[in-house]
Amino acid sequence: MSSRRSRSRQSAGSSRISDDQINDLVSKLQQLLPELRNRSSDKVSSARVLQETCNYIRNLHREVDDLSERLSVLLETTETSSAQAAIIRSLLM
Amino acid sequence: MEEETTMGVHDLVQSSKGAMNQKLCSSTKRKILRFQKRKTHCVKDSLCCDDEVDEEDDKLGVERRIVALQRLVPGGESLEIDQLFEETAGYILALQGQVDIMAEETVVVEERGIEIERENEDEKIKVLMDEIEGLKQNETEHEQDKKALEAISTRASQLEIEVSRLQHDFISSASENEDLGKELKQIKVKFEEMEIRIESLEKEKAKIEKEKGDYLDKVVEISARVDEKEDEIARLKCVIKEKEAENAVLKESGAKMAEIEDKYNEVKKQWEELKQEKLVNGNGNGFGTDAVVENGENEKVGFKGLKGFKWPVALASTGTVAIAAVAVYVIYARRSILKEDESIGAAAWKWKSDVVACLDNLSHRDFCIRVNADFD
Repeated sequence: MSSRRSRSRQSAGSSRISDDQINDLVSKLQQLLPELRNRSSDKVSSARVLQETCNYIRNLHREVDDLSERLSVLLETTETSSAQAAIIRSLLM
Repeated sequence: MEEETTMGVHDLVQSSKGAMNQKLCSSTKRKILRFQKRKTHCVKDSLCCDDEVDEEDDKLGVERRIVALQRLVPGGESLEIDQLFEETAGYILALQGQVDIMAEETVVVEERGIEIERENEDEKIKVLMDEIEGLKQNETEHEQDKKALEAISTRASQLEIEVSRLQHDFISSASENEDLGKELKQIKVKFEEMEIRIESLEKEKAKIEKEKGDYLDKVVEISARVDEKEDEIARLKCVIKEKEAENAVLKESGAKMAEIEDKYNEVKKQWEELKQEKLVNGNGNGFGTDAVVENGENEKVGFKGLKGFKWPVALASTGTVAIAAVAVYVIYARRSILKEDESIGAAAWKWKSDVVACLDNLSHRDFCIRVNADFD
């Protein structure tokens, strides 16, 4: 959907959605982020929020990877009950 | 999932390193843990370093960041901004949930692992304790074995001592045996020598006995002969006695004969005288010297006979009468011999031989020898 991409970029540049809307959404996002939650929206720029969001998502990805790896290692070495192992493995896959 | 954007270089480097590797920079690890456990703090360092990047032109930065977000959120590239942001929020929440669950599971699994480890360890401890028990038993058994072995070793050392003593005794008795053997050999040699000597001595003894036997035989012979000789001697002694007696007698008779001889000589003289008378008277028969010789011989013979005759008793008593008678006889005898009257001569000769025979008892031969000796 390259056309949409370019359109979204263009729309991002021409902002079909209003800046206020954007700001509102950004502030909402800010609440999600653990670090920026407690700070006022005025201080934090949208760029900052978006940056933090990206970072946060990447961190979460990494965490998931780490945990999945750890779990797989642990499951290999420990003798857990088959039901528990099945559940965990399904979550990992 | 992790795309390389220009934002958050430091962060990106960190994450790309350890995506698949558990050995993430431990700081990031710890930070992640703090994230999920406390849910209060974010990765300050990684987020804060982006402040510098935020200094860019706002609109452009925002646009750029929105693009990045789109890329991160699954399906975000087809969404409008408002939808995108909603999607982002949902996505973040989903991820947070996942992380929480996984963290809890990890804890559970870890604890389960620890439990199992403890169980294993308990089992191992049990096994080790059993082993220890077994080893203790073994040890006690070994102690017993050790004691038994000690006893055996002491006994062995005692036996060794005994053995060495016995060996010693054996060696000494063996050497004694050797000596005895040598002695025995020597004795045997001597014995054989003795045997040989005995043999030779026995031979000698046999010889000597044989000789002795011979000698004994000889002795017997000789003793027999001795006996014989003794008998002979005895006999001869008797004979000698007899002879001596005879001698005595003969001496007597000899003495008598001496007398008779004298008387005979007288008679002879007379006869000579008579004879000369006769010769003168012419009775010369031509006998002459021969007759004298014959007469002498006959006289001798006759005298022999006379001498042989046992006169002593007769002479002793008759004396000269006897002599005369004898003279007469002699004359007569001679005459008879000289004359042709052989019968008378023979008778006289016979008488004479009778006389001779009578004189045999006085061993007339000796007498004759004596007489012959007288008249030789």
